[in-house]
Formats: sequence, C-alpha cells, structure tokens
Amino acid sequence: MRFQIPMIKNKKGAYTMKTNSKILQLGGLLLGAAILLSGCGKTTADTKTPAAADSSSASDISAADTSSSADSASTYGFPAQMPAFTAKDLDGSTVTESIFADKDLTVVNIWGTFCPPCIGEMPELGEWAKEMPDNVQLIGLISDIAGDEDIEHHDLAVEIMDKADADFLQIIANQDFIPILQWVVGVPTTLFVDKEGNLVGDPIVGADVDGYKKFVEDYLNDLSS
Amino acid sequence: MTFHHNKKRILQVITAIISCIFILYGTARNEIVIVLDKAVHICLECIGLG
Amino acid sequence: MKITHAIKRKIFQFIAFGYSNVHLMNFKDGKIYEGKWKQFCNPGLNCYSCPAASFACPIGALQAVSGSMNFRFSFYVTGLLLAFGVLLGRAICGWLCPFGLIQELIHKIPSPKLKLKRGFVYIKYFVLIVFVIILPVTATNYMGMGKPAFCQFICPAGTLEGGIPLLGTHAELLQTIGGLFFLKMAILLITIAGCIFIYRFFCRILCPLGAIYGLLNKISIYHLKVDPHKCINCGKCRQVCRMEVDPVKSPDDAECIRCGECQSACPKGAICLGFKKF
Repeated sequence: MRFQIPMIKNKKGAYTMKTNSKILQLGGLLLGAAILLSGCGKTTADTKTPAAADSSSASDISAADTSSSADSASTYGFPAQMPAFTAKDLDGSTVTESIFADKDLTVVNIWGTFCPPCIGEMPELGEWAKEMPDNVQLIGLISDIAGDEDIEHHDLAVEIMDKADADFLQIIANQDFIPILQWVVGVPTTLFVDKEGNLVGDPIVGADVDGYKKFVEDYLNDLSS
Repeated sequence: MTFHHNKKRILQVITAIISCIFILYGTARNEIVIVLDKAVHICLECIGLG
Repeated sequence: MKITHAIKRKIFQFIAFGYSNVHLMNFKDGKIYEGKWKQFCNPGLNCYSCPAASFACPIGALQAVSGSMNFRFSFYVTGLLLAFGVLLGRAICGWLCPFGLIQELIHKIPSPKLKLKRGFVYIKYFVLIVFVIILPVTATNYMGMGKPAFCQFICPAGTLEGGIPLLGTHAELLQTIGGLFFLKMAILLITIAGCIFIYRFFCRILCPLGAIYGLLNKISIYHLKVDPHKCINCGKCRQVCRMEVDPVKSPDDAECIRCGECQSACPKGAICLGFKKF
C-alpha cells in the first residue's frame, strides 16, 4: 500500500488579482444562474404522465393535476374508481367504462410501446387472457399513443400484439384517463377493477404476471366464499 | 503515443468533419426521437428496479 | 483570496452539475423532466432518470438507439461524442462531468489513499465494448428491442441519481425491488467505497464514457504540453498526478483528465494546458 504524497500548491498555479476577480464574478454569475433556473416554474408545468408524448396535451394534464388530486385516494394516490371514459381500441371501435360491468373482475394492464419489460410480458399476458375464467377479463391500456394522428405508435402497438400472439382488448389512453395515469410512475402498472368500476387491491408495478394471477385467484376465492 | 503536430491537426479535422456528418445523418433518420423518448420515460430497468 | 487552478476547476464542476440538474423541484414529487432539452446529450455522465436531470445521458442514449428495433448504431450520439471528444477530450471528465464531481467529493473523506494498478484501467474498454456496444444489439426480445445493458446492470450513477430518489418518493416502487436492485446497490456501494480510497475509482475502472473520451485525448484540441526546454525531469508532475499519469512521458494519456495539478506543481512552469498551439 503506497500513500499519496500531499500536494504542494505554489505561486505558479495562482492567478493575478485582475483575473481572480473576473473569474470569481463570472463563476458567481453562472452559479447564480444555475440556482435561479432550478427554481424556475417550468419543472412541474412540463412534467406529464407516461401518457401521450406530444406537448400539446401537457398543459391540459397539468391543469387536471390540481383538480383531481382532491379525489379520494386509495393506494399510491390512485382514485377509488376508474374514471368515466370514451376511448378507442386498436381496431378503432369505441369503448366506455361500461366494459367493467361485463365481468366480476377486470385486470387493467397499463403499458407503453417504449417499454421493454411491458413488451416482454405480452406473450404471457396473451396466453393468460385466453385461459382466464369466464367472469374475469384482461384489457390493456396503451399510454403512449398520442391521439388518432399517431399512426406510428398505433402501428407499433398492433405489431407488438401480433408478434406476441396476444389478442385481448387494447384501449388507447386519452385525456379521460388522466385521473389514473397521473399516478402511474412507470409501466407496466396493473390495476384490478370490480364490476362497479372500483379499484380493488393494490396496483402492481413492474412486470409480474405471477403476481397478477395470484391476486385474481385470491380475489375469486374471496368472492365465492 | 504522441502524434506529430501536423498529423494531429489532420486527425482533428477529419474527426470534426466525421462528427458533423454523423450528427446530421443521425438526425435525418430520426434518432433524436428515440433519444428523447427514452430520456423522458422513467426506465425502471435502467435504474435497478423492475 | 487567490483563486487557484484547483478552485477554478471546482467552480466549473459545480456549475456543470448545476446546469446538468436544473429541475430540482422534481425531487419533491419524484417526476422527471420531460421537455425538449432531453433530445440533447450531456457531455458527462448524468442519468436521465434523475428527477432533476436537464439533458439525456450520452451512454444511455447510445444504448437506446442501438437497442431500438430499427437501428444497430447511433450516428447522432456517436457524432456528438466525437465532437465533444475532439474538442475537449477527457477535460470533460475533469471539468464537466457531474458524476466525476461526486466521486471527487467522496474522495475528500479522510482515509488512507491508495494507488491503482495500471491494468485495472483497461476494464472500462471491456465495459464499453460489451455492455454499451454489443449487448444492446444482441440481447433482444421478440420485437428486436435490446437491453440497455450498461444502464441496467452496471451504472451506479443511475442507481444513485435515479433509483434512490424515485424509491424515496414512490412507495409503489418498493415492490419492484429484486435481484437486479441488489446487484446495482452492491455496485454503487463498491463504487462509493472505492472512491473514498482511490481517486475517481469509477472513472478509471468502469466508465465507458471515460474510455471514449480517453481515446480522443490523443487528438483533442484542449490538450497538455510539456516544454522540453523548461522541463528538468524532476518528476514532481508525476508524483502529484492523482490519475497516476506521467505528463512528461505521455501528455495525451488516455487517463489524463486535464485537472492541471501537474501544471500547478511544476517548479519551472513547463506544463501548458489549453486550446492554443503552444
């Protein structure tokens, strides 16, 4: 083990008084600017949910932020109920919140085309959707298709479903889903919804198909007992 | 290895030119969209979670 | 007060840390900045999952593009890195990298300070080639999306600046903690411990960005030169160098981060650092 020799600072490294004060002023100015910028309001106004990537919806979403935070919150801030919505699925058909009334339990898998773990679990989800009991359904909620004009992400989602051999319903998230999406930190996040549209249990964050299956099993057992 | 001054100058110019071409070509084929997309979505994988 | 070269450099480092992480308000809610500035890459290492981060991480961006379905290689990011590198070389490491500053501050913790065997510095080239260049292209899923292998398995900056703040603000992320998290925390703790004893432990051994800029040190415009007429071969520059470089033997060494300590230590003023021709 060798120890480092302490350094000797000598006059050669030091600057003259004139340059000193210039550097100090410039440094102070830039440092001050950096600190000021950090307090700048643009931070929270710019942030948005993992939803639509286009900037035009950012202001809408941040406005909705403040109003819906007053809603009754369950785990991790999520509201107690799924919001009412009118949205399109990947085929272009319209879907509304009435879909929850069809089954005792709906598993809502929120994902994005940018997210490798989400895409990774899709084949397994596709299989599970086919084997599910009749009173349970799995639907996907795609968070990064920015409206009807976003053909690129739409086609990508279709391709993913195709390659994953999955064909369960995929809803394209829009403004109606903000009360839910604003609480999603990262995808995939999976929610569980009963036939009244209430959120049940805790949201599962991260790709954990076994975890989703277990919750569904336990929930159905509770129902029948 | 230390480069002879002229050789170094030539390499600097070549590298600078290549870097400009690369940036322009990369921008033209929309790589920036991918960079932005990745940077604005929290990648749980990348930070050791999920 | 005399502003020594060392203090001037620290000021630059703090300013760079500042502009790299302007969005400090985001720490409160655990959200990240999602605006247009993130199309641009920070010249240094700063995780873009850090709530405060202003720009994209160049290594993360490299992996994102080469791991994407349609591309194997990023011209945009590589071009940026070549431009940064040919201009400044590893002076970026020494003056502008936020994670470099963090390491230097950790090193100030009093302890015996150790030297690093030269062979270890080559590990970062392995990290660059395997984890940054090859794996995102080869470790793909059925859609052809590759893993950002360096970010995912190695980078301690991501764990420190992104993982920990987000875990702290989002209870729901605690359920995602698994084997990967323990691996990355281990690497982070080893990095921190390493930095206490060894100057810039991560920079020297693991950083792929340092590997890239180090190679460009050979031709960077901001460079170091030793005047052979003034040099008396006293060896003070070599003794003082914390990256363990001998400026007289290799002024454009791939390990030199242009900190200027050698310049300050030279009794004859034989060392020059800068953009000019000398």
